[in-house]
Amino acid sequence: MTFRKQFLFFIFFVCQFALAQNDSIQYLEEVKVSDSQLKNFSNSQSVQQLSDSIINNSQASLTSLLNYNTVIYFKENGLGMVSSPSFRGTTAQQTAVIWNGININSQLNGQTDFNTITTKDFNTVNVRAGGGSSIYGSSAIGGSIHLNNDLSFKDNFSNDLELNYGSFNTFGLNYKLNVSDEKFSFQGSISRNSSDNDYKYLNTDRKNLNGQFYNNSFNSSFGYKINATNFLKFYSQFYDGERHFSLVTPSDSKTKYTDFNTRNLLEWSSFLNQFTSRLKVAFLSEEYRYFENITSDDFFFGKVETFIAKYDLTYDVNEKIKINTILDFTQNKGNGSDIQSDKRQIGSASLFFKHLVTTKLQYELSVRKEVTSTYESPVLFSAGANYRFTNFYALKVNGSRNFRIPTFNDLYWQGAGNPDLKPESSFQGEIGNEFRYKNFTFTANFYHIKIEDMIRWLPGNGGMFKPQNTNKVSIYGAEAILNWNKKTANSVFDFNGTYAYTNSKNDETGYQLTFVPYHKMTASFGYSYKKINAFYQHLFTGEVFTQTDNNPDATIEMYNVSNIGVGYGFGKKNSFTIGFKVLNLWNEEYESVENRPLPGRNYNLNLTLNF
Amino acid sequence: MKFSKLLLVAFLGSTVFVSCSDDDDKVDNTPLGAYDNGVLVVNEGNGTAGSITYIGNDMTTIQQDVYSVVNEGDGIGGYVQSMFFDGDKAFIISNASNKITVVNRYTFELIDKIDSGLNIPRYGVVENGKAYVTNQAAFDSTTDDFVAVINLSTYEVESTIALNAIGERILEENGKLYVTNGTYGEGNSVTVINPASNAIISTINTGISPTSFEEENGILYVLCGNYDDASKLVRVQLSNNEILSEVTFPAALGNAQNLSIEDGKLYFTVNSDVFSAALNATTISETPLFTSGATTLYGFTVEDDKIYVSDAKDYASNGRVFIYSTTGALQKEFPVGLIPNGFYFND
Repeated sequence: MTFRKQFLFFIFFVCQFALAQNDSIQYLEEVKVSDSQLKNFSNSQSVQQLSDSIINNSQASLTSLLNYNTVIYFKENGLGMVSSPSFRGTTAQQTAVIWNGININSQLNGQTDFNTITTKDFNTVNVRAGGGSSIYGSSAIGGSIHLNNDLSFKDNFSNDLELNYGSFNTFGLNYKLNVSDEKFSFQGSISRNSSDNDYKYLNTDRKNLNGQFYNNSFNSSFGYKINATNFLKFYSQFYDGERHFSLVTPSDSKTKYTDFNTRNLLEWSSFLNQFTSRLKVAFLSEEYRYFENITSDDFFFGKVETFIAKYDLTYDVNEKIKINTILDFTQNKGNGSDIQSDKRQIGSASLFFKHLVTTKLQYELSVRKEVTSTYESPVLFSAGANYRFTNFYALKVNGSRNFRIPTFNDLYWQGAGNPDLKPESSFQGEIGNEFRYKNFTFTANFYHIKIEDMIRWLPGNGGMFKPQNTNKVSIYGAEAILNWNKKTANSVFDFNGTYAYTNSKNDETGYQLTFVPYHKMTASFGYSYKKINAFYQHLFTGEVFTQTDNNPDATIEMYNVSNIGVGYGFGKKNSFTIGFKVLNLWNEEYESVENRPLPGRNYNLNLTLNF
Repeated sequence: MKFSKLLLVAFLGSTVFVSCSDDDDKVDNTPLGAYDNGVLVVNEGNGTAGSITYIGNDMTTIQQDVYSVVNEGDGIGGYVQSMFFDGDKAFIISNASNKITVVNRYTFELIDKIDSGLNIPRYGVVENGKAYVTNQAAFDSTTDDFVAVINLSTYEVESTIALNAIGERILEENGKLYVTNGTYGEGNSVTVINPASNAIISTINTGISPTSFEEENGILYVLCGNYDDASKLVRVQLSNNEILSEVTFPAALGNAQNLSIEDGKLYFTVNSDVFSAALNATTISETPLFTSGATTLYGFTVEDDKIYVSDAKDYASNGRVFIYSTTGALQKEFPVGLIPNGFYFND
């Protein structure tokens, strides 16, 4: 569907809804989200939900949200530039990003650039730690990030507009419209972020040159209740961004990079007694263009179109046993200036089983097998249990096998692609401890991951790189997550903290993987009193190695960065809020990639209107 | 260790070497700076920083990151491709930073920086008071490559010579400039330029991609190879720029690299193997002279009866240099910087 049509569709239904506000309210939890497995089959693992207020206090990029609030480590080639995660000591291709239940990692390079996702386009962001390939497919090794648009069928009409402006001519806009009644539900949003991004490098006389960027995204989610048991839902997203890549040395050639991604998902769900059936059809496209010199119109590009058809059937045997099967067909068609045009088809079948043995004990099992002509695919599985000893303490145990499939670049890069690649495969075991006491929740997870057949681009004769299945990696680590909140009549106080220890070693050399810190810590405090709210967030990232030989002279130093913000609400329901943030409050000189300094202290003013 | 101390150590190292060798010959080897009498290894580095390692002729003295040490932490830019010389000046080319750093080749003290008018500079040579530096510009285009002509009194690019072919290695012989038109298996010629007029005099078709070349006694030896065809050696008579002869290599020696001529012999590499042949050889043996200890042989040269091999390893850890005799006996090895790609000599 073209954007023009999409827009007409939008206008049409907005008008319809505006006229059709009924007063009957019906709420169906099962219809609300598209990613039902996140709720139903993630009970033996740690799932961290990032609330609205956390999303609002963070900067617009998914990098910023996750960096300050989770155990995931990020490296960024300068503010807003390419951003890659490392979750539980894994590589950037070993974290899956799931949009309304659909895996959206790039088919070209296998990862998601976390600076190309605007968090304000989603109602909830969940972080699911550990293996998830049996549910979400490729890349869910370190963990998965879930971006969800929730649709509810109750009377609602709201508009939210947020504008912010800050240092380096940074501009942000987010407009959200929610219209729903018992029969229709619509949620639309438009986001725009842009910046000159010409910040000064601390303690030098240099500025960030050629770092300007903008991105626009359009989102709409639409739900229609056909009758009491049948629902149609449609989710759509368009993302268009252009980033100039900042220069390391002023004389570097100026380059830029554009992304154009579209995501569309149509779902028909039916509820028939103990059966829930969901038929999903999705169409995704991704396209990048890389201009190696902005003075020229020449560019390199890569493009992949993905079609997915999925049938998801859940059978509630009784109140305690749930069986879920998914049949999935995915086709990717790719072409580009450096990849051979090719088509890849993957079929898969999955079976999930959950049993609530007693009120205290439940276990869940899942198994998935993919079939494709491109590579040999292992049987993926996950088995886990959750035992709640007391209200105070629950124990979670999970073991899983996960994988990361070779990408289009790995397989089809002209002159270098290796069609004989196997997927990277991993076994993982974890133990989670969850403590709850009054307003405290404390989670402590311990895990061990073994990954083999890592796909690496290695140099051959004449300096030509080719991808090969090579190293094995062993990772063990610990994560601690603490939440506390306290509400009184006029005030709310909350605290969220995370800490991760990560030991991720190449089996052959015994060296820590590059860009995986041993230690990372985050802390955030929020406080609101009547119409005033304030927050303070802090990020500590330990030293990382930039070379595979752990050369002590080639490291990125550890850093501590803090942000602070205050806001004040006007009107009866705080329908108008004005806020001010100071980012990098202590003016820390830091970088996450060598010679790519991040900004010093900078400021941001934001206005929010709800009507 | 403070730099002054290092300097002292390096200095002492050189003098010790000099005094030892005094008995053998009476050449004046008084060092002209801390980095005289030794080998300079160019470490390509990453997109943000490369470096130069100095290894003394005493085979003991070693100094990493020479330029930064001398110039208070300043850098020479990323992807350091090569160096060229003019008298006591060294020109260090960074292709990621479009920059040439001009230093004293013996002390490494900064003289000037040339950082405009360049677009992915690769190799350079000096002729008649001017530097000629090849520039590849966009990697996917062969129509925008050029030679930048640099005025050595102002250190500014004063004009450019369009190549209409890939611009890679360059050498000067008898007042003419020769440029290999090949990289990564692409391209198939050598361009001849008259620097007096900045005009292209001739284009010599080598059939497949020239990977490296050297001149010896009026003949240009061009080693050619790519990922599909058999490698070959093309001999060009420089008096008329005509091809004199060609030698096609056995199929097993695909993508041959790093031609070096020393004492009337040709040397080259395929993967980690080092080969040698007579200058006038009509066939090339499949049997290597020896197999080097490099996992990823990247830089290679033969000089003064020594074979220098650099190992780029996985391109993400510090490299290593191996020094062999001309029969392949390992004499010494040294740790160097990230992705060592070439050797230059301060004798």
